[in-house]
Amino acid sequence: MKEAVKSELAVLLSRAGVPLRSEDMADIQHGWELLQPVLTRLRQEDCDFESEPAPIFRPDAFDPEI
Amino acid sequence: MMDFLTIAQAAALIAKRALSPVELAQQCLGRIETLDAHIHSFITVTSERALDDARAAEHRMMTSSLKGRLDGVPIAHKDIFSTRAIATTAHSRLLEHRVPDEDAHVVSKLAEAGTSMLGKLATHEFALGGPSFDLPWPPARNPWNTEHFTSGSSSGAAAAVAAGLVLGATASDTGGSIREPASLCGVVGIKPTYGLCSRTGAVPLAFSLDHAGAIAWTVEDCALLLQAMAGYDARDPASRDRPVPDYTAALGSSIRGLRIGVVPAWHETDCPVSPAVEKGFLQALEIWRAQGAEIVEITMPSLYDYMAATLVIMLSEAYALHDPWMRSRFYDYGALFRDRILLGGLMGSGDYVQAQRLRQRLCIAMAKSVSDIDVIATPGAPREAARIDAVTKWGFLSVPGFAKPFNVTGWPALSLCSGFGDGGLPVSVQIAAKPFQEQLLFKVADAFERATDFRGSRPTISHIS
Repeated sequence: MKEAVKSELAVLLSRAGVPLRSEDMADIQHGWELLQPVLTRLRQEDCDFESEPAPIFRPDAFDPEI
Repeated sequence: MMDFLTIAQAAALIAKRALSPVELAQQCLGRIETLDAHIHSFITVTSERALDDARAAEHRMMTSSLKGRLDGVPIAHKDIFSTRAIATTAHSRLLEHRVPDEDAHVVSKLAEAGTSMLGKLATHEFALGGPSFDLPWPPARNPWNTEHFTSGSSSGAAAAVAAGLVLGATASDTGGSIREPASLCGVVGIKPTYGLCSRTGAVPLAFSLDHAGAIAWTVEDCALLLQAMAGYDARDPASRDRPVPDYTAALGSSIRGLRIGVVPAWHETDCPVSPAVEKGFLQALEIWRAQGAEIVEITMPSLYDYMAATLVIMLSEAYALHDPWMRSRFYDYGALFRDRILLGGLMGSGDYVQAQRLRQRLCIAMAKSVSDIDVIATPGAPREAARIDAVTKWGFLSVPGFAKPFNVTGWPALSLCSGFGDGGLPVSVQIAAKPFQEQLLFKVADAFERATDFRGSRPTISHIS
Protein backbone atom coordinates (compact mmCIF):
# COMPACT_ATOMS: atom_id res chain seq x y z
CA MET A 1 0.00 0.00 0.00
CA LYS A 2 2.70 2.42 1.03
CA GLU A 3 4.62 1.59 -2.17
CA ALA A 4 1.52 2.23 -4.27
CA VAL A 5 1.05 5.61 -2.62
CA LYS A 6 4.71 6.37 -3.12
CA SER A 7 4.48 5.57 -6.83
CA GLU A 8 1.31 7.63 -7.25
CA LEU A 9 2.91 10.50 -5.40
CA ALA A 10 6.02 10.39 -7.57
CA VAL A 11 3.85 10.79 -10.68
CA LEU A 12 1.89 13.67 -9.16
CA LEU A 13 5.06 15.44 -8.04
CA SER A 14 6.58 15.02 -11.46
CA ARG A 15 3.50 16.58 -13.02
CA ALA A 16 3.64 19.46 -10.54
CA GLY A 17 7.27 20.12 -11.46
CA VAL A 18 8.32 20.81 -7.89
CA PRO A 19 12.01 20.13 -7.12
CA LEU A 20 11.33 18.11 -3.97
CA ARG A 21 14.44 16.56 -2.42
CA SER A 22 14.27 12.83 -1.94
CA GLU A 23 14.79 13.17 1.82
CA ASP A 24 11.59 15.25 2.04
CA MET A 25 9.46 12.71 0.17
CA ALA A 26 8.39 10.68 3.21
CA ASP A 27 6.99 13.71 4.99
CA ILE A 28 4.95 14.80 1.96
CA GLN A 29 3.72 11.23 1.57
CA HIS A 30 2.51 11.32 5.17
CA GLY A 31 0.57 14.52 4.50
CA TRP A 32 -0.84 13.13 1.25
CA GLU A 33 -2.08 10.04 3.09
CA LEU A 34 -3.75 12.19 5.75
CA LEU A 35 -5.46 14.20 3.02
CA GLN A 36 -7.08 11.15 1.43
CA PRO A 37 -10.07 10.97 3.83
CA VAL A 38 -10.74 14.62 3.07
CA LEU A 39 -10.77 13.97 -0.68
CA THR A 40 -12.85 10.83 -0.25
CA ARG A 41 -15.47 12.89 1.58
CA LEU A 42 -15.76 15.15 -1.46
CA ARG A 43 -15.77 12.38 -4.02
CA GLN A 44 -18.35 10.11 -2.42
CA GLU A 45 -21.19 12.62 -2.75
CA ASP A 46 -23.65 11.76 -5.46
CA CYS A 47 -23.98 15.13 -7.18
CA ASP A 48 -26.68 15.65 -9.78
CA PHE A 49 -26.14 17.62 -12.97
CA GLU A 50 -28.01 20.60 -11.55
CA SER A 51 -25.61 20.99 -8.63
CA GLU A 52 -23.48 23.93 -9.72
CA PRO A 53 -20.28 24.87 -7.95
CA ALA A 54 -20.35 27.90 -5.66
CA PRO A 55 -18.32 30.28 -7.89
CA ILE A 56 -20.96 30.82 -10.54
CA PHE A 57 -19.68 32.94 -13.41
CA ARG A 58 -21.43 36.28 -13.97
CA PRO A 59 -20.72 37.69 -17.43
CA ASP A 60 -21.22 41.30 -16.35
CA ALA A 61 -18.96 41.12 -13.30
CA PHE A 62 -15.82 42.29 -15.02
CA ASP A 63 -17.23 44.81 -17.49
CA PRO A 64 -16.28 48.33 -16.38
CA GLU A 65 -19.13 49.76 -18.48
CA ILE A 66 -21.80 47.95 -16.45
CA MET B 1 -3.66 56.23 33.68
CA MET B 2 -3.08 55.42 30.03
CA ASP B 3 -2.28 51.76 30.68
CA PHE B 4 -4.49 49.40 28.71
CA LEU B 5 -6.97 51.84 27.32
CA THR B 6 -9.51 50.45 24.93
CA ILE B 7 -10.17 52.27 21.67
CA ALA B 8 -13.49 53.52 23.02
CA GLN B 9 -11.86 54.81 26.22
CA ALA B 10 -9.04 56.50 24.32
CA ALA B 11 -11.52 58.08 21.92
CA ALA B 12 -13.56 59.50 24.78
CA LEU B 13 -10.47 61.01 26.40
CA ILE B 14 -9.16 62.43 23.12
CA ALA B 15 -12.57 63.97 22.42
CA LYS B 16 -12.31 65.75 25.79
CA ARG B 17 -8.68 66.78 25.13
CA ALA B 18 -7.80 64.73 28.21
CA LEU B 19 -5.41 62.44 26.33
CA SER B 20 -2.65 63.38 23.93
CA PRO B 21 -2.53 61.16 20.82
CA VAL B 22 1.23 61.77 20.73
CA GLU B 23 1.69 60.59 24.30
CA LEU B 24 -0.53 57.60 23.61
CA ALA B 25 1.55 56.65 20.56
CA GLN B 26 4.76 57.15 22.53
CA GLN B 27 3.48 54.92 25.29
CA CYS B 28 2.64 52.15 22.81
CA LEU B 29 6.04 52.49 21.16
CA GLY B 30 7.65 52.25 24.60
CA ARG B 31 5.70 49.09 25.35
CA ILE B 32 6.75 47.61 22.01
CA GLU B 33 10.38 48.45 22.83
CA THR B 34 10.09 46.77 26.24
CA LEU B 35 7.96 43.73 25.48
CA ASP B 36 8.13 42.75 21.85
CA ALA B 37 11.49 41.01 22.18
CA HIS B 38 9.51 38.38 24.12
CA ILE B 39 6.40 38.28 21.93
CA HIS B 40 7.74 38.93 18.41
CA SER B 41 4.45 40.38 17.30
CA PHE B 42 5.99 43.04 15.04
CA ILE B 43 7.94 42.60 11.82
CA THR B 44 8.40 46.33 11.30
CA VAL B 45 7.90 49.15 13.79
CA THR B 46 7.18 52.49 12.10
CA SER B 47 7.95 54.89 14.95
CA GLU B 48 8.35 58.01 12.84
CA ARG B 49 5.18 57.35 10.90
CA ALA B 50 3.29 56.69 14.13
CA LEU B 51 4.42 59.95 15.67
CA ASP B 52 3.69 61.92 12.48
CA ASP B 53 0.18 60.45 12.43
CA ALA B 54 -0.27 61.18 16.13
CA ARG B 55 0.91 64.78 15.77
CA ALA B 56 -1.61 65.31 12.98
CA ALA B 57 -4.34 63.83 15.18
CA GLU B 58 -3.27 66.03 18.06
CA HIS B 59 -3.53 69.08 15.85
CA ARG B 60 -7.07 68.07 14.89
CA MET B 61 -7.88 67.51 18.55
CA MET B 62 -6.67 71.00 19.44
CA THR B 63 -8.56 72.58 16.54
CA SER B 64 -11.81 70.69 17.22
CA SER B 65 -11.62 68.91 13.89
CA LEU B 66 -11.31 65.28 14.94
CA LYS B 67 -12.35 62.84 12.21
CA GLY B 68 -14.15 60.45 14.54
CA ARG B 69 -13.57 57.92 17.29
CA LEU B 70 -10.50 56.36 15.69
CA ASP B 71 -8.66 59.65 15.35
CA GLY B 72 -5.36 59.40 17.20
CA VAL B 73 -5.79 55.70 18.03
CA PRO B 74 -2.60 53.62 17.65
CA ILE B 75 -3.05 50.51 15.52
CA ALA B 76 -0.93 48.20 13.39
CA HIS B 77 -1.50 46.13 10.27
CA LYS B 78 -1.03 42.46 9.56
CA ASP B 79 1.91 42.28 7.19
CA ILE B 80 -0.16 41.01 4.29
CA PHE B 81 -1.81 44.43 3.88
CA SER B 82 0.17 46.71 1.61
CA THR B 83 1.52 49.91 3.08
CA ARG B 84 2.93 52.58 0.80
CA ALA B 85 6.73 52.96 1.11
CA ILE B 86 6.79 50.44 3.98
CA ALA B 87 7.86 46.84 3.47
CA THR B 88 4.99 44.35 3.19
CA THR B 89 6.45 40.88 3.41
CA ALA B 90 3.65 38.41 4.19
CA HIS B 91 6.27 37.10 6.63
CA SER B 92 8.04 35.41 3.73
CA ARG B 93 11.57 35.42 2.46
CA LEU B 94 10.13 35.67 -1.04
CA LEU B 95 8.69 39.12 -0.32
CA GLU B 96 11.33 40.23 2.19
CA HIS B 97 12.25 43.35 0.23
CA ARG B 98 8.86 44.16 -1.29
CA VAL B 99 7.87 47.80 -0.76
CA PRO B 100 4.42 48.62 -2.19
CA ASP B 101 3.70 51.97 -3.79
CA GLU B 102 0.17 52.23 -2.45
CA ASP B 103 -1.82 51.30 0.63
CA ALA B 104 -4.26 48.42 0.78
CA HIS B 105 -7.86 49.58 0.75
CA VAL B 106 -8.46 48.88 4.44
CA VAL B 107 -5.14 50.50 5.40
CA SER B 108 -6.15 53.59 3.47
CA LYS B 109 -9.57 53.70 5.12
CA LEU B 110 -8.11 53.41 8.61
CA ALA B 111 -5.58 56.14 7.81
CA GLU B 112 -8.43 58.36 6.62
CA ALA B 113 -10.11 57.73 9.97
CA GLY B 114 -7.07 59.28 11.67
CA THR B 115 -5.39 56.23 13.19
CA SER B 116 -1.70 56.28 14.06
CA MET B 117 0.13 53.43 12.34
CA LEU B 118 2.67 51.76 14.62
CA GLY B 119 3.90 49.13 12.18
CA LYS B 120 3.44 45.78 10.52
CA LEU B 121 2.54 42.64 12.38
CA ALA B 122 3.75 39.07 12.21
CA THR B 123 1.65 36.51 10.38
CA HIS B 124 2.22 32.98 9.26
CA GLU B 125 3.97 32.82 5.92
CA PHE B 126 1.50 34.01 3.29
CA ALA B 127 -1.18 33.71 6.01
CA LEU B 128 -0.97 29.92 6.21
CA GLY B 129 0.89 27.47 8.35
CA GLY B 130 3.07 28.24 11.29
CA PRO B 131 4.59 28.40 13.73
CA SER B 132 7.67 28.50 11.50
CA PHE B 133 11.22 28.86 12.78
CA ASP B 134 12.90 28.89 9.35
CA LEU B 135 11.73 32.33 8.17
CA PRO B 136 13.53 35.70 8.35
CA TRP B 137 11.41 36.62 11.40
CA PRO B 138 10.44 34.43 14.36
CA PRO B 139 6.82 33.44 14.99
CA ALA B 140 4.74 35.53 17.37
CA ARG B 141 4.33 34.07 20.84
CA ASN B 142 1.32 33.99 23.10
CA PRO B 143 1.55 36.82 25.68
CA TRP B 144 -0.33 34.70 28.24
CA ASN B 145 2.58 32.25 28.15
CA THR B 146 5.35 32.80 25.64
CA GLU B 147 6.08 29.07 25.52
CA HIS B 148 2.69 28.65 23.87
CA PHE B 149 1.31 29.14 20.38
CA THR B 150 -0.80 32.08 19.27
CA SER B 151 -2.44 30.14 16.44
CA GLY B 152 -2.69 32.13 13.27
CA SER B 153 -2.32 33.46 10.85
CA SER B 154 -3.15 36.83 12.39
CA SER B 155 -0.74 35.87 15.14
CA GLY B 156 1.01 39.20 15.58
CA ALA B 157 -2.28 41.08 15.63
CA ALA B 158 -3.74 38.93 18.41
CA ALA B 159 -0.52 38.92 20.45
CA ALA B 160 0.06 42.67 20.14
CA VAL B 161 -3.51 43.53 21.14
CA ALA B 162 -3.46 41.10 24.08
CA ALA B 163 -0.19 42.55 25.39
CA GLY B 164 -1.45 46.10 25.03
CA LEU B 165 1.14 47.08 22.41
CA VAL B 166 -1.58 48.40 20.11
CA LEU B 167 -5.25 49.16 20.65
CA GLY B 168 -6.40 47.41 17.50
CA ALA B 169 -5.15 45.72 14.37
CA THR B 170 -6.15 44.65 10.91
CA ALA B 171 -6.29 40.91 10.32
CA SER B 172 -7.39 38.40 7.71
CA ASP B 173 -9.22 35.09 7.83
CA THR B 174 -9.27 32.35 5.17
CA GLY B 175 -9.93 29.32 7.39
CA GLY B 176 -10.01 30.80 10.90
CA SER B 177 -7.01 33.12 10.82
CA ILE B 178 -8.69 35.94 12.75
CA ARG B 179 -10.86 33.99 15.15
CA GLU B 180 -8.39 31.27 16.16
CA PRO B 181 -5.54 33.57 17.27
CA ALA B 182 -8.09 35.89 18.87
CA SER B 183 -9.37 32.85 20.78
CA LEU B 184 -5.98 31.64 21.96
CA CYS B 185 -4.79 35.13 22.91
CA GLY B 186 -7.97 36.14 24.75
CA VAL B 187 -8.99 39.03 22.50
CA VAL B 188 -11.90 39.75 20.16
CA GLY B 189 -11.70 38.96 16.45
CA ILE B 190 -14.29 39.84 13.81
CA LYS B 191 -14.37 38.13 10.43
CA PRO B 192 -17.04 40.07 8.61
CA THR B 193 -19.25 38.88 5.78
CA TYR B 194 -17.36 37.98 2.60
CA GLY B 195 -17.32 41.12 0.48
CA LEU B 196 -17.90 43.63 3.29
CA CYS B 197 -14.23 44.68 3.56
CA SER B 198 -12.11 45.00 0.45
CA ARG B 199 -9.07 42.74 -0.05
CA THR B 200 -7.48 45.13 -2.56
CA GLY B 201 -3.82 45.41 -1.64
CA ALA B 202 -3.84 42.32 0.56
CA VAL B 203 -1.52 39.47 -0.37
CA PRO B 204 -4.04 36.75 -1.23
CA LEU B 205 -4.07 33.21 0.11
CA ALA B 206 -7.27 31.86 -1.48
CA PHE B 207 -9.43 34.36 -3.35
CA SER B 208 -12.81 32.80 -2.67
CA LEU B 209 -12.21 32.38 1.07
CA ASP B 210 -10.12 35.43 2.02
CA HIS B 211 -11.73 37.95 4.36
CA ALA B 212 -10.27 41.17 5.80
CA GLY B 213 -11.26 41.94 9.39
CA ALA B 214 -10.04 43.20 12.72
CA ILE B 215 -8.80 42.26 16.17
CA ALA B 216 -9.17 44.37 19.32
CA TRP B 217 -9.54 44.02 23.09
CA THR B 218 -13.31 44.52 23.23
CA VAL B 219 -16.36 43.95 21.08
CA GLU B 220 -17.02 47.68 20.88
CA ASP B 221 -13.47 48.30 19.67
CA CYS B 222 -13.91 45.72 16.91
CA ALA B 223 -17.13 47.44 15.90
CA LEU B 224 -15.32 50.78 15.69
CA LEU B 225 -12.54 49.32 13.53
CA LEU B 226 -14.99 47.56 11.23
CA GLN B 227 -16.96 50.77 10.86
CA ALA B 228 -13.93 52.37 9.24
CA MET B 229 -12.87 49.33 7.21
CA ALA B 230 -16.20 48.32 5.66
CA GLY B 231 -17.39 49.65 2.34
CA TYR B 232 -17.51 49.09 -1.37
CA ASP B 233 -14.37 48.94 -3.47
CA ALA B 234 -14.71 48.51 -7.21
CA ARG B 235 -11.21 46.99 -7.39
CA ASP B 236 -12.21 43.94 -5.34
CA PRO B 237 -14.52 41.73 -7.46
CA ALA B 238 -16.05 40.29 -4.28
CA SER B 239 -16.85 43.69 -2.76
CA ARG B 240 -20.53 44.37 -2.17
CA ASP B 241 -22.03 47.79 -2.80
CA ARG B 242 -24.47 48.27 0.05
CA PRO B 243 -24.94 50.73 2.92
CA VAL B 244 -22.75 50.25 5.99
CA PRO B 245 -24.86 50.46 9.17
CA ASP B 246 -23.69 51.91 12.49
CA TYR B 247 -22.09 48.89 14.15
CA THR B 248 -22.09 50.44 17.61
CA ALA B 249 -25.73 51.54 17.51
CA ALA B 250 -27.16 48.40 19.10
CA LEU B 251 -24.44 47.84 21.69
CA GLY B 252 -25.84 47.68 25.20
CA SER B 253 -29.40 47.05 24.07
CA SER B 254 -31.45 44.06 25.16
CA ILE B 255 -31.10 40.69 23.49
CA ARG B 256 -34.46 39.56 24.91
CA GLY B 257 -36.33 37.41 22.44
CA LEU B 258 -33.33 36.63 20.22
CA ARG B 259 -32.98 33.01 19.18
CA ILE B 260 -29.46 31.62 19.51
CA GLY B 261 -28.81 28.35 17.69
CA VAL B 262 -26.34 25.76 18.97
CA VAL B 263 -25.21 22.64 17.11
CA PRO B 264 -24.57 19.98 19.77
CA ALA B 265 -23.07 17.48 17.31
CA TRP B 266 -20.32 19.91 16.43
CA HIS B 267 -18.71 20.12 19.87
CA GLU B 268 -19.93 16.79 21.26
CA THR B 269 -18.98 14.54 18.34
CA ASP B 270 -17.18 16.22 15.44
CA CYS B 271 -14.75 18.33 17.45
CA PRO B 272 -14.65 17.60 21.19
CA VAL B 273 -13.48 20.49 23.33
CA SER B 274 -11.45 20.83 26.51
CA PRO B 275 -13.26 21.07 29.87
CA ALA B 276 -12.47 24.79 30.15
CA VAL B 277 -13.78 25.51 26.65
CA GLU B 278 -16.95 23.57 27.40
CA LYS B 279 -17.41 25.41 30.71
CA GLY B 280 -16.97 28.79 29.01
CA PHE B 281 -19.38 27.86 26.24
CA LEU B 282 -22.09 26.62 28.62
CA GLN B 283 -21.63 29.70 30.78
CA ALA B 284 -22.11 31.92 27.74
CA LEU B 285 -25.33 30.13 26.86
CA GLU B 286 -26.52 30.52 30.44
CA ILE B 287 -25.78 34.24 30.44
CA TRP B 288 -27.63 34.81 27.17
CA ARG B 289 -30.55 32.75 28.43
CA ALA B 290 -30.66 34.85 31.61
CA GLN B 291 -30.63 37.98 29.46
CA GLY B 292 -33.80 36.79 27.74
CA ALA B 293 -32.50 35.00 24.66
CA GLU B 294 -33.80 31.59 23.69
CA ILE B 295 -31.22 28.85 23.16
CA VAL B 296 -32.30 26.50 20.37
CA GLU B 297 -30.63 23.25 19.36
CA ILE B 298 -30.23 22.92 15.59
CA THR B 299 -28.63 20.46 13.17
CA MET B 300 -26.05 21.21 10.52
CA PRO B 301 -23.86 19.21 8.18
CA SER B 302 -20.77 17.73 9.79
CA LEU B 303 -17.80 19.98 10.56
CA TYR B 304 -15.79 17.52 8.48
CA ASP B 305 -17.80 18.50 5.40
CA TYR B 306 -17.03 22.17 6.01
CA MET B 307 -13.38 21.27 6.60
CA ALA B 308 -13.17 19.24 3.39
CA ALA B 309 -14.59 22.03 1.26
CA THR B 310 -12.41 24.67 2.92
CA LEU B 311 -9.15 22.76 2.76
CA VAL B 312 -9.47 21.68 -0.85
CA ILE B 313 -10.52 25.13 -2.04
CA MET B 314 -7.86 26.86 0.06
CA LEU B 315 -4.99 24.59 -0.91
CA SER B 316 -5.98 24.59 -4.59
CA GLU B 317 -6.37 28.35 -4.87
CA ALA B 318 -3.18 28.96 -2.88
CA TYR B 319 -1.24 26.54 -5.03
CA ALA B 320 -2.48 28.20 -8.22
CA LEU B 321 -1.15 31.53 -6.93
CA HIS B 322 2.23 30.10 -5.93
CA ASP B 323 2.73 27.59 -8.75
CA PRO B 324 5.54 29.50 -10.53
CA TRP B 325 7.53 30.03 -7.33
CA MET B 326 6.85 26.50 -6.16
CA ARG B 327 8.66 25.33 -9.29
CA SER B 328 11.51 27.85 -9.19
CA ARG B 329 12.01 28.82 -5.53
CA PHE B 330 10.61 25.88 -3.61
CA TYR B 331 13.18 25.90 -0.85
CA ASP B 332 12.98 29.66 -0.33
CA TYR B 333 9.62 29.09 1.34
CA GLY B 334 9.41 27.94 4.94
CA ALA B 335 8.82 24.21 5.23
CA LEU B 336 5.34 24.47 6.74
CA PHE B 337 3.88 26.69 4.04
CA ARG B 338 5.49 25.00 1.05
CA ASP B 339 4.73 21.47 2.19
CA ARG B 340 1.14 22.24 3.10
CA ILE B 341 0.20 24.00 -0.13
CA LEU B 342 2.11 21.43 -2.17
CA LEU B 343 -0.83 19.14 -1.42
CA GLY B 344 -2.95 21.58 -3.42
CA GLY B 345 -0.72 20.98 -6.43
CA LEU B 346 -1.20 17.24 -6.20
CA MET B 347 -5.00 17.22 -6.19
CA GLY B 348 -7.03 16.89 -9.35
CA SER B 349 -9.15 19.56 -11.00
CA GLY B 350 -12.18 17.44 -10.15
CA ASP B 351 -11.39 17.76 -6.46
CA TYR B 352 -11.54 21.55 -6.65
CA VAL B 353 -14.82 21.55 -8.55
CA GLN B 354 -16.35 18.98 -6.21
CA ALA B 355 -15.28 21.14 -3.27
CA GLN B 356 -17.07 24.12 -4.81
CA ARG B 357 -20.15 22.01 -5.43
CA LEU B 358 -20.05 20.83 -1.81
CA ARG B 359 -19.63 24.44 -0.79
CA GLN B 360 -22.89 25.37 -2.47
CA ARG B 361 -24.73 22.54 -0.71
CA LEU B 362 -23.23 23.56 2.64
CA CYS B 363 -24.34 27.17 2.13
CA ILE B 364 -27.88 26.02 1.37
CA ALA B 365 -27.93 23.66 4.35
CA MET B 366 -26.79 26.35 6.76
CA ALA B 367 -29.35 28.84 5.49
CA LYS B 368 -32.14 26.26 5.91
CA SER B 369 -30.98 25.28 9.40
CA VAL B 370 -31.12 28.80 10.74
CA SER B 371 -34.16 30.16 8.94
CA ASP B 372 -35.78 31.01 12.30
CA ILE B 373 -32.55 31.63 14.22
CA ASP B 374 -30.85 35.00 14.80
CA VAL B 375 -27.29 33.93 15.59
CA ILE B 376 -25.31 30.69 15.94
CA ALA B 377 -23.08 30.09 18.97
CA THR B 378 -20.20 27.58 19.04
CA PRO B 379 -17.06 27.15 21.09
CA GLY B 380 -14.15 29.19 19.71
CA ALA B 381 -10.91 27.22 19.50
CA PRO B 382 -11.40 23.60 20.70
CA ARG B 383 -8.83 23.92 23.48
CA GLU B 384 -6.28 26.18 25.10
CA ALA B 385 -3.12 27.12 23.22
CA ALA B 386 -0.65 24.26 22.70
CA ARG B 387 3.02 24.67 23.40
CA ILE B 388 4.63 26.38 20.44
CA ASP B 389 7.02 23.45 19.94
CA ALA B 390 4.18 20.90 19.95
CA VAL B 391 2.34 22.08 16.83
CA THR B 392 2.64 19.56 14.00
CA LYS B 393 2.78 20.16 10.27
CA TRP B 394 -0.20 17.99 9.40
CA GLY B 395 -2.48 18.46 12.39
CA PHE B 396 -4.66 20.84 10.38
CA LEU B 397 -5.81 17.92 8.22
CA SER B 398 -7.53 16.07 11.05
CA VAL B 399 -9.01 18.66 13.46
CA PRO B 400 -11.97 20.43 11.84
CA GLY B 401 -12.35 23.31 14.33
CA PHE B 402 -15.35 25.63 14.43
CA ALA B 403 -14.15 28.45 12.18
CA LYS B 404 -14.35 26.99 8.68
CA PRO B 405 -18.14 26.80 8.28
CA PHE B 406 -18.16 30.57 8.20
CA ASN B 407 -15.37 30.86 5.65
CA VAL B 408 -17.07 28.46 3.26
CA THR B 409 -20.42 30.23 3.61
CA GLY B 410 -18.94 33.71 3.96
CA TRP B 411 -21.16 34.41 6.98
CA PRO B 412 -19.83 36.87 9.58
CA ALA B 413 -18.37 35.39 12.75
CA LEU B 414 -16.71 36.75 15.86
CA SER B 415 -14.78 35.10 18.67
CA LEU B 416 -14.33 36.47 22.17
CA CYS B 417 -12.87 35.39 25.48
CA SER B 418 -15.12 33.17 27.63
CA GLY B 419 -12.73 32.43 30.47
CA PHE B 420 -9.38 30.88 31.29
CA GLY B 421 -8.31 27.25 31.36
CA ASP B 422 -5.16 25.24 31.87
CA GLY B 423 -2.24 27.41 32.93
CA GLY B 424 -4.36 30.54 32.83
CA LEU B 425 -4.62 30.35 29.05
CA PRO B 426 -7.73 31.93 27.47
CA VAL B 427 -10.68 30.02 26.06
CA SER B 428 -13.35 31.45 23.81
CA VAL B 429 -16.79 31.34 22.29
CA GLN B 430 -17.72 32.06 18.68
CA ILE B 431 -20.88 33.76 17.43
CA ALA B 432 -21.96 33.79 13.78
CA ALA B 433 -24.84 35.48 11.99
CA LYS B 434 -26.46 35.64 8.58
CA PRO B 435 -24.71 37.66 5.87
CA PHE B 436 -24.30 41.36 6.65
CA GLN B 437 -25.78 40.96 10.16
CA GLU B 438 -22.62 42.18 11.89
CA GLN B 439 -24.66 44.64 13.94
CA LEU B 440 -26.53 41.76 15.55
CA LEU B 441 -23.30 39.85 16.07
CA PHE B 442 -21.75 42.74 17.98
CA LYS B 443 -24.89 43.19 20.06
CA VAL B 444 -24.96 39.57 21.27
CA ALA B 445 -21.21 39.45 21.87
CA ASP B 446 -21.30 42.75 23.74
CA ALA B 447 -24.11 41.48 25.98
CA PHE B 448 -21.90 38.57 27.04
CA GLU B 449 -18.81 40.71 27.46
CA ARG B 450 -20.62 43.22 29.68
CA ALA B 451 -21.95 40.40 31.88
CA THR B 452 -18.48 38.96 32.56
CA ASP B 453 -15.23 40.32 33.96
CA PHE B 454 -12.84 38.68 31.52
CA ARG B 455 -11.77 42.10 30.16
CA GLY B 456 -10.29 42.86 33.55
CA SER B 457 -7.32 40.50 33.12
CA ARG B 458 -4.28 41.13 30.96
CA PRO B 459 -1.33 38.78 30.42
CA THR B 460 1.23 39.04 33.21
CA ILE B 461 3.96 39.96 30.74
CA SER B 462 2.05 43.05 29.71
CA HIS B 463 2.59 44.54 33.18
CA ILE B 464 6.38 44.62 32.75
CA SER B 465 7.62 48.17 32.40
